[in-house]
Amino acid sequence: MTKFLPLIWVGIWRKPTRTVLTALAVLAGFTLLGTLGAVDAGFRHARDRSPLDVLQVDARFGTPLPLAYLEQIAAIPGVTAMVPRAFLGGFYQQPRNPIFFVATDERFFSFRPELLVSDAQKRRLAETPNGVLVGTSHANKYGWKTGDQIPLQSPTLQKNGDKTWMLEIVGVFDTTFDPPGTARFTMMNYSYFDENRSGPRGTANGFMARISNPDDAVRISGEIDALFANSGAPTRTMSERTSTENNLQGLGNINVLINGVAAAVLFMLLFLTGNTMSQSAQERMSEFATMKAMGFEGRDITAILIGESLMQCLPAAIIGLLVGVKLVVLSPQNFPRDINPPWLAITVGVLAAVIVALVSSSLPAWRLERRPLTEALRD
Amino acid sequence: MSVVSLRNVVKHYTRGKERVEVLHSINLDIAPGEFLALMGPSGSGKTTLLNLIGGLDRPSAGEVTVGGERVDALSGGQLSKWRARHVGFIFQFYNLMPMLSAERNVELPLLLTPLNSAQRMSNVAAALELVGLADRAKHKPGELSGGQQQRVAIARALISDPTLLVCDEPTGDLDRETAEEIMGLLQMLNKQQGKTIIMVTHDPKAAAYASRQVHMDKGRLVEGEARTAAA
Amino acid sequence: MLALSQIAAVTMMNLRAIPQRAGASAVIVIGMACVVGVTLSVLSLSEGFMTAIRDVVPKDAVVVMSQGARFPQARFISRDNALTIIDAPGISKTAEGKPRAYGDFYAGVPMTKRGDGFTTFVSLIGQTQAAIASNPDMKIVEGRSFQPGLHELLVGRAAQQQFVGLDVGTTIPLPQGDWSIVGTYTSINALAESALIGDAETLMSAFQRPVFATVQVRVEGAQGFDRLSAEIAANPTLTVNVRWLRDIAAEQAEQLNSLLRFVGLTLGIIMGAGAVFGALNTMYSAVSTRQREIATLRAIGFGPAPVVISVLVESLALALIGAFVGAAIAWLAFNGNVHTVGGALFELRVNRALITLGIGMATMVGFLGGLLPAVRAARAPVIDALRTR
Repeated sequence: MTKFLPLIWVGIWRKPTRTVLTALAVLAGFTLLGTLGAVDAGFRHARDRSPLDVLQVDARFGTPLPLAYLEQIAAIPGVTAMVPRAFLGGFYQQPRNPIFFVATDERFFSFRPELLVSDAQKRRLAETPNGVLVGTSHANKYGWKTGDQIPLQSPTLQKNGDKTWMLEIVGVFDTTFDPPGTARFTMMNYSYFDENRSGPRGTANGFMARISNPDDAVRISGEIDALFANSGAPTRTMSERTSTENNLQGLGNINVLINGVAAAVLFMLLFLTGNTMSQSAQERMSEFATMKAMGFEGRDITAILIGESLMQCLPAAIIGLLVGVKLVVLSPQNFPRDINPPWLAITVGVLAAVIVALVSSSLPAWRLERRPLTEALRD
Repeated sequence: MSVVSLRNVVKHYTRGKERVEVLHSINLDIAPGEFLALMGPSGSGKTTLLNLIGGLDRPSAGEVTVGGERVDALSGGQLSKWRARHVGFIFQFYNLMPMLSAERNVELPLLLTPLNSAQRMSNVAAALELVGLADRAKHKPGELSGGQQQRVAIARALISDPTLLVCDEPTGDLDRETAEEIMGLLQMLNKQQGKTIIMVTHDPKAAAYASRQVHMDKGRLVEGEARTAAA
Repeated sequence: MLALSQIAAVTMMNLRAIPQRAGASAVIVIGMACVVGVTLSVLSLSEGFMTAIRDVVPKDAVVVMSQGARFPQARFISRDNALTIIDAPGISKTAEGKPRAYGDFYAGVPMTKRGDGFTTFVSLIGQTQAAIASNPDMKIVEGRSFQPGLHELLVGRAAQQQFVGLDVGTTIPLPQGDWSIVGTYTSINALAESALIGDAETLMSAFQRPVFATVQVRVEGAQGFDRLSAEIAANPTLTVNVRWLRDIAAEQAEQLNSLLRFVGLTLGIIMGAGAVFGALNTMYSAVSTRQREIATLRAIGFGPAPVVISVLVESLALALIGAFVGAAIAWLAFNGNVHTVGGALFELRVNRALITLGIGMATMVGFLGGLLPAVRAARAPVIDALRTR
C-alpha cells in the first residue's frame, strides 16, 4: 500500500483548488461536529459523575423541611450518612452579580469529594462562623482573597431585618470537575445561616443521604417520601443521578439537536466529497484504464481512490474536531463541561470521517470497475 | 513453437438488440522474436484483435494462447496479474500520468512487483537510458515533446521485461521524422533485445519496420503478405 | 439593453446546462438545504417562543412584585400591601365596577412528563374566581371551576396533554392531602395553558404562606400604567415594582432566546462556510467545463460582464433552490410542533422572518460561491480557452 502513497499524493493535488476547498468544507463540518461532541461529552460526563448512592431529599412543594427529618431519615435501614442543605441567594454589589451559597456543614465534604478543599480551609470554615468558601471563578471575577469581608445583598433577611449579610472568605478552591480557575461552587456554615435568618429557624431546603446499596435508591426514596407524605412539608427524593438527568432534560433535548445537526452535516459532506471524488475519478478514467492495462487490479485502483479521499478528508476532519472541541468554551455557561478531552466524540468523529471517505470513493470506484477497459482507455 | 497462438477466435458485441461481429474465426501464430504489423482500414477489427492478444478483452469464442498459457480462460484478477507479467502496452496518445514525472511513470508497473524502491529506481534509470531519455527523468509529460513522451511510454512498457510489446498506432500522433525515430527504437528493441512486438498501424511506412505484415479486413485476416524488405 | 440581452443569453445557456451537471449542482442545493434546514429548525424554537409572548400576552396585563425578586419563589407581597395596590388608580374595572387586580399565589409542582418520564416543575397558580371570570382569554372547556375553600384545581389543556395524571376527576398530592382536578381550561396564551390553577387563599393556607406572590393587574392603557406606577412610587410603605407582563415574559424568554439564537446562528455560520466551499467547488468545475463555450462567446464579442453575471446567477439560483428545500423541510418537520421549555409549552414557528433569513443566507452563499469562479471565467484568455480539448 505504501508504494501507492506517491500516486495518492499527486492524485489529490491534480486540482489543488478543488482539494483545498473540499478539505475546508470538511474542516468546517467537523469543527461543528467537534463542538457538538464536546457538548455531548459534557452532558454525558455530568450524568456519569452523579452518584447513584446519594439521594437528594428536597421539598416537594418548596416548603422548608424541619431539621428533625434528618434523624428520621437516618433511621431508615440502608441510609448511612446525612447532611442538611439550605440556600442563601443574593447578589454582590449589583443585581447582575448573583451568588448562591449552599449552607451546610463539614459532613458535606464526604458527599462532594470533587471539591478540592484543604484540611486547613475546612478548619478555618469551622472556626469562622460567618466564613465562606468560594470557587476560583468567583474569586477571580471579583478579586476576592482569603480574609476579605464581602457584603451579600439577599432577599432572605437576617433576623434583625438587615438584607446585607457580611461574610468572610476563609478559602478559595478548585474542583476536579472544572478546569482550574473556573470552579463556581460556594458554601457557608449552616449553623451561622440558620441562627441569623429571619425565616423559619431549624429548617433546611433539603438533605443529602448516602445509601449503602445503590440498587435500593428507588425503594428508599419511596420510603422517605412516604414518611412525610401527610405532613405539612412533603418531600421529593431521588438519586443524584436521576436528579441530574432531570436537570439536563430541562435544558432542552440536546441529544435530538446534536444528532440532527450531525446527520445534516455528514449528509452534506458526503455529497460534497462524493462529488469531488466522482469528478476527479471521471477526469482520470483513461489514466486508471491505462494502469489497469499495465496489470493494476480493480482493487488497487479502489485503494488509490480511497487513499485520496482519506487524505483529503481525514487531516481536515481531525483538525476540525480539535478546533471544535476547543470552541466548546463558547457554549452557554450553564452547560456542563467535561474537563477531559472528549475522546468518544473524537473517535466517533474520526470514524465518521473514514466512513465519509469510504462512501465518497466507492461510487466512482464502482463506476470505474464497471466501465469496459477497452472503452475506458479511449476516454 | 509460437509465442502467440489464436485458434478460431470470434468476437462479437451486442449493441442494443443488434449483434455486431467484429472478428470471424481468426487463426494466427506469432513466433518468438517476431515484429508483427497488423494493418487494415479502420473498423477492420485490428485493435480488437490486439486487445485480445494483450489480455484487455476476452474472445466470444476460440482460444488465445500466449507463452503457452490460455489467456481466454483467465479470470479478471488473473488476467490483471498476467498482463503485469507478460504484456507491455504502447498507446497512440502515450497515456502517461500527467501528474507524474517521467521516471515515476516508468516506475508504475514495478509497483506491482516485490522490488524495493532502490531496485525500482535503478531499473527505471536503465530503461530511460535505453530509450535515450536519461536526462529527462524528472520532467513531467507536459514538459516533453510527443516523441519524448512516447519514449517514456516505451520505457514503461519495457520496464517489467514482458513477453510481448503490444503497440496501438504508436506513431499515430507523431510527425514523420519523430515517427521514424520511434519506429527505429522499436526495431532496435526487436532486433537487439529480442522483444516480440505486435503493432497495429495504418501507416505503411511504420509497418515497413516490422518483420511481418498481416492485413485485416471486415474482421478477417488477409494473410499471405510477404516479409518486408526492412526485415 | 444590449448588455441585458447579452446577460440573458449567457445566463440561459448556463442554466440550461445545469441538468448535465446534476451531481455537482446538487452539491450546492443539498448543502444549502442542510444549512437552512438546520438553522431554521433551531430558530423555529426561539421564533415560536417569541411569537407566543408577543402575540398572546394581554396588552393591558401588569404585574406588581417585590423589588429584586429574580425567581418566582422569592416574590411576596403582604396582604396589606396587596389591598393598597388593588385600590390604586389606573386599574381597569369589571362590569360590576370592581378593580381588575388580584393577589396571587405561586408554587412549582413536580410533574412527570408523558413519553420520556422526566420530571418538570409545573406552575401552580393561585387566583380568585373573580380573576378567572374577568379574564376574557381563558375558557373552561371541561368540568367546572374550583370552589374556594375546597381542594380543587383547574388544569390547563397544554399541561394536561403534556403530563401524566392530570385528567379531570383525578387527584394529585399537595400539602394537606389530595387535590382534585375539577376542570380543564384553554387560553389563547399557550404559555398560560401550561399551569394548574386553584383558589389563592386556599392554596396559601395549604402551603402555609401568609403572603401573596404578586398582584396581577389589568390597567387602563399606558396612562393607567403611569398613574398606577406614580401612585405606588409615592407610597413609602410599598417596596414593589410595577411592570408590564409582556416585558417580564420577554425578559424570561430572552435567556432561552439568546441561547437559541447563538446556537442557530453558530450552526448557520459554520455550516454556511462549508456550503460556500462546496459552492466554490461546483462553480469552478462548472466554469471549467464551459471554458470553450465562454471563450467562444467572448470571441464573438460578448463582454466580460455577462459572463460574470451569468455564473453568479447560476450559483444564486442553485443556492436559493436549496434554501427553499431546506426551509420546506424545516417547515414540514417543525412548524406547529408543540414544544416545552421548563414546563412552558408553545408551538414552533417557521415563519416569514425565518424564511427571509434562509433566503438571505442562500444569497450570501450563492454570491460568495459564485464570485471567484465568475471572475476566473471572465478573465480566462480567450485564445487559450478556445484551444482546450
